[in-house]
Amino acid sequence: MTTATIAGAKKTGLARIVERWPVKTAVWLIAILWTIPSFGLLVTSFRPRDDIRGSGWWTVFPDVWDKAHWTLSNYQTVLSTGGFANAFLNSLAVTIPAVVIPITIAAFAAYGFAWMDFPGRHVLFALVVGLMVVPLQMALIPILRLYTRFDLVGSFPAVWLAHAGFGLPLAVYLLRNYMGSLPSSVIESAQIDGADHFTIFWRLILPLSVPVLASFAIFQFLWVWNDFLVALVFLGLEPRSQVLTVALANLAGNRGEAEHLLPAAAFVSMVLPMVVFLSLQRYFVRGLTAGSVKG
Amino acid sequence: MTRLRWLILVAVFAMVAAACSTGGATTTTAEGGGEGAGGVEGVEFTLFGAPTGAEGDAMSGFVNVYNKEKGTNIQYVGSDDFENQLRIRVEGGDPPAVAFTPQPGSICGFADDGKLVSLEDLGFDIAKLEADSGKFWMDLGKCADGKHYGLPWFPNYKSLIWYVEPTFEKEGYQIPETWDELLALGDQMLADGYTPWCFGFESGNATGWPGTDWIEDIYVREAGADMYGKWFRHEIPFNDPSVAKAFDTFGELFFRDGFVLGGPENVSAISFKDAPLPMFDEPPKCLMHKQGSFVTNFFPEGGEDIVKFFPFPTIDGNGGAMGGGDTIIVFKDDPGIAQVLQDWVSADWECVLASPSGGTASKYGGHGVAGVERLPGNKDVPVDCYETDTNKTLAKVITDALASNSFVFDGSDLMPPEVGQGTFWTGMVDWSKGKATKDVIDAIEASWPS
Amino acid sequence: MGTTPSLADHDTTGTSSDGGGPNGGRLGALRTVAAVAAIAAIIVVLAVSASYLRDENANRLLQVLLAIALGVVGVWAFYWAMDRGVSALPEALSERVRPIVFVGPAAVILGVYLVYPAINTIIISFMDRQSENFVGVDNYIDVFTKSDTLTSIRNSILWVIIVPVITVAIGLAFATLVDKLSKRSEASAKSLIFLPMAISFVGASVVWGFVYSFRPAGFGNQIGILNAIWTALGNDPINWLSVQPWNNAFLMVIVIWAQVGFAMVILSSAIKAVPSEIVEAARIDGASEIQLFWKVVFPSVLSTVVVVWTTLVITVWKLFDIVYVMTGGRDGTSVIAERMVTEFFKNFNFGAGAALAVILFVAVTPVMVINVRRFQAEEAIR
Repeated sequence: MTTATIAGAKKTGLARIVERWPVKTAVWLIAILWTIPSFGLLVTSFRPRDDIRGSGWWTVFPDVWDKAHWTLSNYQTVLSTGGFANAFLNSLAVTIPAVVIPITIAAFAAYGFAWMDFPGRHVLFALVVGLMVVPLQMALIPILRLYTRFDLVGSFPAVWLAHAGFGLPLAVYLLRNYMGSLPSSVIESAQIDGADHFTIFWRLILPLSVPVLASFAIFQFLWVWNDFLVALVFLGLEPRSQVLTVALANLAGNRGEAEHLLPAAAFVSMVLPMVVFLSLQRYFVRGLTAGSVKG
Repeated sequence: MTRLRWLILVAVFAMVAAACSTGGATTTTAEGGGEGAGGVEGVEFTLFGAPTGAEGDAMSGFVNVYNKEKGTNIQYVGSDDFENQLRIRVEGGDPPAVAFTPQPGSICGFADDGKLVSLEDLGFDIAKLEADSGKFWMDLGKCADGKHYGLPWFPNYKSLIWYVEPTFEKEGYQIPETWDELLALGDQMLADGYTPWCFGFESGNATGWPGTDWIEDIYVREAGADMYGKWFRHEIPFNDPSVAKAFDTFGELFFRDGFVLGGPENVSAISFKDAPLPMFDEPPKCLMHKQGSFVTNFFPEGGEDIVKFFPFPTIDGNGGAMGGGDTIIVFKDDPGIAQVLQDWVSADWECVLASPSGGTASKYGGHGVAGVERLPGNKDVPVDCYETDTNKTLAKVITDALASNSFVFDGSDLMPPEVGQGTFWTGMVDWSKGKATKDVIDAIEASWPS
Repeated sequence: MGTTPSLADHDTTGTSSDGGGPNGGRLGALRTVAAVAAIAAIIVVLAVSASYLRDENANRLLQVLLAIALGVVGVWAFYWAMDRGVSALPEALSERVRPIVFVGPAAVILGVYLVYPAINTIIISFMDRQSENFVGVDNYIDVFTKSDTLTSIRNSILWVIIVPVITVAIGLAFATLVDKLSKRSEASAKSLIFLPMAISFVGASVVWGFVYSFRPAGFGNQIGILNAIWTALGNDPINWLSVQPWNNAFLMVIVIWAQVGFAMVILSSAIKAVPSEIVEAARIDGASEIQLFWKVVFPSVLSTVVVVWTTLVITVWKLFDIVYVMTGGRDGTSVIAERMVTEFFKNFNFGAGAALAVILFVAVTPVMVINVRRFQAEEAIR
């Protein structure tokens, strides 16, 4: 980011403002367009049930301060769902390891594919890429059979490893692409200095790969956090082991009679992913790779 | 040194293995603690079903009352994704001990694969069950080996037409008792400047199902219960003339000019949840709507004071009661579980399930969840188990129908899923948009899996 | 991410002598003892925690924290121990075995969770609906003769051609533009684009329900914004999701809306990795911003563009949920994966569902080949 500022500082302030105007407008136009649907959801989440079904969400705006338009009861109902706190904890217990484990495994594998020479690595890598297309729906029953045989149903590792398996092909693919594009001079000079693969991986490649690790972490976090099927199948049916998505999905009722709770539920379950995104954003900074490579 | 490192390695592997086997929540335990016949104390199992939300809470409430009364440790688990989950868990070798399914058509699939325990093997008296819940319902769970696998629990009721009572009173409309009176009433409303009907077939990936209910209600009246059974069992083809006749009868009402709010061609885009709403406008935008007893969930607040129901009229003098229902299936052979289920289908315990307080008739109180009432699956359940007049009336209709074995199931739930949850639904959509009856039923017949 | 060493650390990496490896001496012995002690402690902790995690009455918070710690620490300890173990081997052997340490665990997990189910799927695709008897290629013949599956194949191909390209284009454009803003504006603009990704799938279907919802004239107020605008302009309301073939485009919009966040995040980090010296040099040479993008930035991020595109192709290829929930494949909107899920989970026709899945696998082969070729070419020049 320092380099960005330096680059910008070379122009006069005025030129910069003039140059940025169209860009700014374009950016915010796209951003607002992108947000309108979600904004509607946000407004809806604060509206009473009969209003939601009776009129469009934008109709609140002419007299937006009229209290009759708004209610907190949707959120109250969602947050007081039986076992909400328990479900939130379960989601954490599933999600955090189910992010760390595949990233770790994928990082090692990506390094192996990018920088180690062993027979069959191209074939193996092609296979990994190809496995991205295996739909997880086809894997549920065979895996559940395995788990039943080894009495793993209902344990957290059962879900972690399943998520690791389903997320691994993309992780390996993304990380290998990134790690493979690091300059070979860095690795070679470290090897000349006597560092072994584990050291190079741990002290050189991993730190250099932080941006891609952070981006994959965000997506894996989202997928696992928002996952419904894998958790329900492998964690078992008991309310005690329900994750947040399962608890919230059951809110609406079988025929959707309590559908008006879904917008509030969507926002409640969205809070943590957004926090994760915002906090990992600082890793997407300019010059991390460039700077280190130079040094 | 080298040996030491190997030791560490082994230790770490052991650790990972240990982590895998310890894990989080415990797995399902369904240890039958049945202490001989009659004793259910200590029986422990998981009951799996579709109801969630308030209806799921009512199931848990019921189970808790039972646990407290009998010293059992039963847990209710509901899922939005019930059908898929049940199938996955059974195929994956980890079925729940007991489940209750709204799709009786799926029972024999499980039974023929040897996954279920028959009611005979659990020691049930089949003749008594047939007398209590009707032979029609019991036969739905009668599979290839001639044994029964489905235990009728609680039904819902679909042969209802909802109407705007204040307008009926103001205009002096009479409740129609025959199909012809129903059509004539519609013409009268039209002449008085009203739109008679609201329809809504949209239901996400299940769009079309409200239309199938119409065809079924008409078919059972026109062709009779025997033909109805042959129809869903595919002993007659779907494009049989009797089926075409039911479509054409429905068409007399559905396609009559001005009868349908928004026009019949748009019905497939109106959500079934929104369909009753125009009845509550001032003045009402439509006056009648056909839907099952659950539709009150979608009324605006206080809606039940305005919109009431009458039974689906007779055709050619024939009535009928059509609905769905939840049927218990048992995956674990255990005398304790069998005893619990004997209790649950008894009139005493169905009364607990009936209403929040169990009304004035219940020995053990009710399930405790306001606003949830369940119709009886046993003819001996007293109407006083219910709190609301609506459900007292419906309970009477249902218990009479069960006793006389005239309660029939929603046919689309009994057909193979390709048809009953597939082409029959989409066929109704095509038909509502104007596709010819013959083309629609020919296409459905062609899709019937061999 | 707390395990990542700070940047200052690795400047010294190359020259540090204690970077691991089986060097003997007092230090090594001490380390080994410490490691053994640590392992012993972990085993004790595990023994205690095992019973604790089984305890249904225990504090759930503590249980959850314990589970998280076990999972996170466990996986790193596993690799560390494997590497130590391999390093203890004779050197010639250990270098041959070491790739197994790096790639082996991934291969095992993929084998269990994806290869085994894939093989299972291939087998049952040649069997009947209950997977009881072999029926040869009947299921495949059905797929290629039934009109609804043929429609789904046509639609899937359209989806794969249209959606990834548009998504990458918008994502790249946005990532490029946003890069020129101040840090704070950049962060908030990116969050807004990213937001749709964070909305759960159920939430997303509700969101778009409020866009495409349709009520016929006279039925009541429009609650879908598209029809509200459309009728305000004096038109009759339109049932957007049943207008063929445009309903497919309306469904694609939903997926593009949700996936641009993915493309934007990955491409943005690639753009930031373009060395600023090169960009500056081009600027000084008088290149316009547009020239700069096409001559400098785009070539530098091309490999990432291919990666994002590939990922999206596969995502879209096996996408079913939006279609399944919004239309159930009606009105000519079905796609292959939606058919697969319907056959498998709704009709319980395992044979037909598996055959569709196999078609999904096979069709993606060209994408794999493109990628491997590209990686080989890249390695040849680095």
